[in-house]
Amino acid sequence: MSLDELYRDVILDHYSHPRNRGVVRPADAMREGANPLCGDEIRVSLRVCDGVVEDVRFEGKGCSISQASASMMTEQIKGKPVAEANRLIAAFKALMHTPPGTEPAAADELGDLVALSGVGKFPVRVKCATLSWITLEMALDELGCGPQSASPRGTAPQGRDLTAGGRDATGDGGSHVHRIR
Amino acid sequence: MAIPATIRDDFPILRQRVAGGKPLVYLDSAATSQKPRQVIDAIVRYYSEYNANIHRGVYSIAERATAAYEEARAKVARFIGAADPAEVVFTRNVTEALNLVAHGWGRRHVGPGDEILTTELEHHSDLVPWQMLANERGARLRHIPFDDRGRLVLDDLDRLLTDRTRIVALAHVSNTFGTVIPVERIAKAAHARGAVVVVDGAQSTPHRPVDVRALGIDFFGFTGHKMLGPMGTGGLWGRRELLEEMEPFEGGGEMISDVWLDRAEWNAVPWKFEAGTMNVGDTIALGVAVDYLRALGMPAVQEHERSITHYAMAQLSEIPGLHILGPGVEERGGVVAFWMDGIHPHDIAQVLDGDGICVRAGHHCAKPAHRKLGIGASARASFYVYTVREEIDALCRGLLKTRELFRVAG
Repeated sequence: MSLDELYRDVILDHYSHPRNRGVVRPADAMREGANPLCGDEIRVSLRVCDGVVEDVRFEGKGCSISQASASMMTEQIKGKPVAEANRLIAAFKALMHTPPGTEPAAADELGDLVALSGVGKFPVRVKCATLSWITLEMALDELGCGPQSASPRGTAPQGRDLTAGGRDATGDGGSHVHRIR
Repeated sequence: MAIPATIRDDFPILRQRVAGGKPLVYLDSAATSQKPRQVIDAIVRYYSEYNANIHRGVYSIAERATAAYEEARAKVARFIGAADPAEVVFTRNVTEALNLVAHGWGRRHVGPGDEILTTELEHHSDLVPWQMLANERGARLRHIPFDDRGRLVLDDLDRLLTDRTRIVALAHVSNTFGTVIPVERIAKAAHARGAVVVVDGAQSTPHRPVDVRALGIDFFGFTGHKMLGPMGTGGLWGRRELLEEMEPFEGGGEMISDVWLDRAEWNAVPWKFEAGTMNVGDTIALGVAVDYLRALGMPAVQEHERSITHYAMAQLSEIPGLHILGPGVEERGGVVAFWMDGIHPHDIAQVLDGDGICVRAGHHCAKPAHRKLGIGASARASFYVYTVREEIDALCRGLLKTRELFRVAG
């Protein structure tokens, strides 16, 4: 398996120049994800207005695949209706499990993200690529507008808004950290 | 006596070509060692010639299996300087050995308000069992800190040790920094306070002469798969009087001397800790691994690794933007963990794998140590008797290639 298939230029570009890095303030939802196997950590925060992801940002540390995937994710999701964001999450997960050599479904919608299709050939790295997406999914769930939710509300549930009232965004992540096994 | 140049011929796995025809460069022996054919053959011989359950059959192959299993115990005992083979309990690995102490000795002797002292650089296997014990018994955990070179800071040892300290648990050699820990000194101070000393020997037993009695400790765990033996083997050495008073870890067959419907009496040590059918074939092969190491001579093994580690540290230091964790070569075993500016350890390991080079990337089961350093992960190259300088050169070429791929400036 060639390394060029994994480390495409666009991935290395997003790794060295991440887009939408930081924390959305104020955020409607914020979630942390971690991969205990390798110590990668990511925090995704977002603001949803009238069913549209108005702003989404990420911060954390991890390998090029996890950071580039998060960067590309925020670029694709920002400004999109929540329903479309949910479709992208599903399409990206499917991309990671697309057999090598197969044309990925929803390639148009995924845009640059198709560059990550090579990750599927390195099973250990799939978790790196999906970490930010699973964390985004949890953040949307927290707002009641994830793929499992019946109807988008676009507001934060009581007591779940980690950034409300100017509270430090880095506080109290522990109980919301999702660990990928 | 030096390690013979032909040693690599004994390791079938090292002969293969990977990654499109490149030789396998295995630099992850701290995770698990490769196995010589003598060990592999011993497993095959056991299952081909005398596989039988031990300590119960009266027929000849059962007697042969029993004798070989107990002979492996005697070999291991001699190898680590135990006074008596009965002081060696076979376990699955060092993790199980440490848990055995936590259960068998800890639950009996550690109470509310007591203290367990360990260190900040421990492997999770020497942290979590003590956390579980402390939680259950209402005891307090304390930790000896390490400095920026991965050496224990012992200035406050006299304050960290108190009259409430029941257990002092520490690694003999750090699996992250490679630091050789001054076990004798700490053990002496711990005993002055009446604590028992438990040593995690996972990274020392394979690499340097070990004498548990000279160390002046009470318990010593080791793992077989890091010392040329099969996976699923290892053991606990304990001072006999401590093992005698300990409760068994698991109940079942073979660990009893008599059983009634409502009660049982325990077997003698070490068998009271070996419930059920043990990993007989692999344990016999562990004995063969010990034979192999004794034939090489542990001083030669240690010297070979010192030389390779010295070379590796000198070569790695030449790579721009590479930072080596841990102490200087005189205080370290055959482990070199490092990080590189602008490149995550996972990516380092991935690019190296493309050239058939195996290194570990991650926190090496020492997450608190990495957290203290402010890094999520590091890359680690670790060496053993079969490691040669050409492999260090291949590693360095691979790291320069990684820098190129990631276009790290400088």
